[in-house]
Amino acid sequence: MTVPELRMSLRFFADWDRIELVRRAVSDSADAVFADERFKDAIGMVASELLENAVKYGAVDALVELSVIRSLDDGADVVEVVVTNEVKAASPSVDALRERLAWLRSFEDPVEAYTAALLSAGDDGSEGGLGLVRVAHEGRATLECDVSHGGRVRVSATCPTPPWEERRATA
Amino acid sequence: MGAAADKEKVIERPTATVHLWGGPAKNVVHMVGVIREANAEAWLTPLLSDIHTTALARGLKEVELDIRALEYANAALWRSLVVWIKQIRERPGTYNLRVTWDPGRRWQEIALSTLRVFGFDSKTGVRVMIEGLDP
Repeated sequence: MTVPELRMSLRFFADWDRIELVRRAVSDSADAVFADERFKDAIGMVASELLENAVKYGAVDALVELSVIRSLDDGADVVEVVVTNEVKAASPSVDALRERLAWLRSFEDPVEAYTAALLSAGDDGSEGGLGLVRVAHEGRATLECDVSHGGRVRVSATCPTPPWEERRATA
Repeated sequence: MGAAADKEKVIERPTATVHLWGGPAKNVVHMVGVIREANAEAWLTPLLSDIHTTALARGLKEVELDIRALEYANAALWRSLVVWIKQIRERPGTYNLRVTWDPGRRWQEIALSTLRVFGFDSKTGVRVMIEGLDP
């Protein structure tokens, strides 16, 4: 291996207070490998938001899995953050997750989805899935979900590695 | 609103602290730590709503939200902040909001860049100013 490698794998009990520990660990590890402040913040946020969803909507007292792996396959240089958790059978959160990702894909640029989600915040009293939109925008991530493994949901966020060009919302 | 509303006040949460009404003009809301609780909106949105009510009662021209010492926040912060901004923009004669942030914390910059869509409301004249990002 001739390039720096990032490879983390954790399995822990779904507990809200552990998420911050993991966020810091992921951020610091990414910092050690890439030495990029923006990416460090972003990859920690991606892990944190995905884990928050897993803990919030997943089965209680179950294990949640996280992997953070740099991949250089197929000419791409990306970090894939994957969170896998158990859900209750027929959980409405799975459909809500699918719908949110479909909604997200309907935008050409994630910043448009992020802006739309922010503008609607508080309008209907719902949380609105801003966390996932944040992952797509701030993490520049491509999001996928797989619910084909009965009772388990796997959400992946594939993020390009730095350096990132500047990208700002237009006011 | 009496002197009680002018006093500095501290809201302690498990991982975050919010200092209210600091600064020379007693108009600074200073957030410190990490906002990461499950359903943080449950305390954050009402807190910002109270700040709004107090700012109106005191006839403030500007409130400064200082998040420089906020190490990290989950999406709840931005949802609650947008709800606050919408309250401010609901009617004329309210106050401007100035957000002070840390350029070293890149997560703040990315989210605040998007919040510039709320920059100026021509109906109410309310401005939301993001330090260092506004022209």
